[in-house]
Amino acid sequence: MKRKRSALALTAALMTTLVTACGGGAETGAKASAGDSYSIGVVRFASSDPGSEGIVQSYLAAAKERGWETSSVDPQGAAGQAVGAISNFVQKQVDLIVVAVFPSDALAAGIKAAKSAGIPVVSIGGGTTDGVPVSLDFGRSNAKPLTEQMVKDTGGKGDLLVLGFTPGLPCVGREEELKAQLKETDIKVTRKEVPIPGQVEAGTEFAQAWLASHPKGSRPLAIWGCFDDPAIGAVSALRQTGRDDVLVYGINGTPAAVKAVKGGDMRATAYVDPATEGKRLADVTPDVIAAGTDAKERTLLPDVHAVTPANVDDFLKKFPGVLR
Amino acid sequence: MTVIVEDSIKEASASSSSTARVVWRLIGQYGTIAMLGLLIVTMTALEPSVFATSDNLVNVLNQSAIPAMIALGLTFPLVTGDFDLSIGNTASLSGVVACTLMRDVDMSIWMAISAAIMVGLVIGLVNGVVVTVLNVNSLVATLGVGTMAIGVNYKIAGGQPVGLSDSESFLEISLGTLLGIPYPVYIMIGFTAVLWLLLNRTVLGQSMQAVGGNPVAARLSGVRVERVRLVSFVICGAFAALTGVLLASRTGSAAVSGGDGYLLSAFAAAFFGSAVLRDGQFHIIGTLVGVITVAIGFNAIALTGMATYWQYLFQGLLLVLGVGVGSLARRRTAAT
Repeated sequence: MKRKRSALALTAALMTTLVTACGGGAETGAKASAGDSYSIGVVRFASSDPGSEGIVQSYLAAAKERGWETSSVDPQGAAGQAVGAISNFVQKQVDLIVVAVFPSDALAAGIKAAKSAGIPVVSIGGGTTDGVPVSLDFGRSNAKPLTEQMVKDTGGKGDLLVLGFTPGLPCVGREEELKAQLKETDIKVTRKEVPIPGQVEAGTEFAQAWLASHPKGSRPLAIWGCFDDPAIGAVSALRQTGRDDVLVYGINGTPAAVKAVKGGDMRATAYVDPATEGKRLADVTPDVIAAGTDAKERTLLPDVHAVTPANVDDFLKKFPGVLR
Repeated sequence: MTVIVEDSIKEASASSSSTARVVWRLIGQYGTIAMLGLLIVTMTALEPSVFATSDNLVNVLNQSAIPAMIALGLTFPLVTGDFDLSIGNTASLSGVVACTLMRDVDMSIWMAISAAIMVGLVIGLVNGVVVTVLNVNSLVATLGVGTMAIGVNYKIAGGQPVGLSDSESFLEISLGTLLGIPYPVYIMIGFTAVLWLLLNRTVLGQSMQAVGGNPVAARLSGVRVERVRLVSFVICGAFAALTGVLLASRTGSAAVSGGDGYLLSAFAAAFFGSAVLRDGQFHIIGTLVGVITVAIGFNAIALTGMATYWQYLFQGLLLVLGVGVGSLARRRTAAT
């Protein structure tokens, strides 16, 4: 009898998971009334990626407020899975597919399937291509004010350690902006590629080695991370070596980075408000659906806030949720 | 009279025990299949107009094709009792090699694919040599070789995705159809049949199963254990490379970490499949069922609009229940 109960309990657990899940989760918006309702499929990048997740969640919340039906899938950073997710949304005949971070031209089979079905795709940070008429820039724009700050702080001369991540399209765009701004300067660059996972530790290790070969007082020194995590790793290296002569810059405005700016350990980070950008995407959604797959390609530019010790208090008043 | 009553009790007890054994044996062998059936029935009830369609069936099979290649290959070292942790890195590297050769050397598609599969064969060979000749534990050996593959990958691609200027012909491998069914589905079915025959109908396959069952007994029976294990790694490497090529043809480019994500899903499918129809043994059909079950789960999540956390809960629970129920059933069968 006990055995039968065990088997029944296990089966019931599976059924409960499935049925409860299918009954609707936090992201399943109520269907809107006929005429203005949209069905949106969202392909996240990875649930563990705070940069894109904030915008995705804000978009889902904005869509829910407007009564649109949403489904989202996490392909865990795998492009093959993302293509599969797009195909599933094509089967579901959604009105629009939103894809986060994956380069649009690296999802060829999925994008083609969506285009063939007449479903437009919007990208968060992946760029526009045939079938993806709209993309929210998540790369180059984010680096602009921060890099301008760095060039101003160093007076356009000195040594710079760049912590980059080439496989990520946003980081590639950010480094393009950095290179463009460094063209007319006398800043000597040492570049290191950080791995993911392990980006914080790599930032620490690369910074320690670089600091050893760049003693205090030589030239203006700075460290530039294409996102905050390796920059935070560099801050740790500075603390360990007792150095206070190196300016550290990061991008994304993570809680750790904003705290480091407030504490004077980082010179600046660039922040994009996910709520604003999620709403921006929601605002353009009806137009994109109406225009379809052949709409004119356009890139949406986010509002980027450079957070420095001088403005961090005002920044936190404006965005009190950042440190949570 | 007393004797008759005692005999009746013994007979009833034996009959009950025999029934329990049959029930547990059925659960052990068919529990995972029943779970897949339950999933299909539930989804059909919830989304009848979208899920239970021929288009969606083809869609699910098409999505299963790439993970199936890598998981089917992985089944071979698992059968011989080894692990291969380099498969994800091998898939990533082979995709990058194929796309780089096509883009930079202007190599034909089929030559580039052949070269990429050669890369997989070499990695498998290195894995096999390190495990069988240097006698390094397969977990450590394949972890090391896989990490070297990452280094080679970065050397070739510089960390950047390798895109193709004219990818139409290459994409055709994934997008092309015959009788309305995409080529990858045929590739999956074809290789499943070939690998099933290899594992079940050849001396090599029987030797692999013997080595996995009891390597000492296999050696005493004249099986060249080290050679058999080495071949299993080579097959695994080749199929990991094929996975990378198919992935690149689906995405139209190759990313340095593009295939890495298949490592865990391949292991999950193979272990789930070990509880399909057999008593915890890795086998080709089981692995395929495992891959398709995961694909149906992924499909269900997209169609029903589940919140993302359910995706992880569901996949984890499916694996634990699939393997756990099978394991429990085998213990109960043995005990009754």
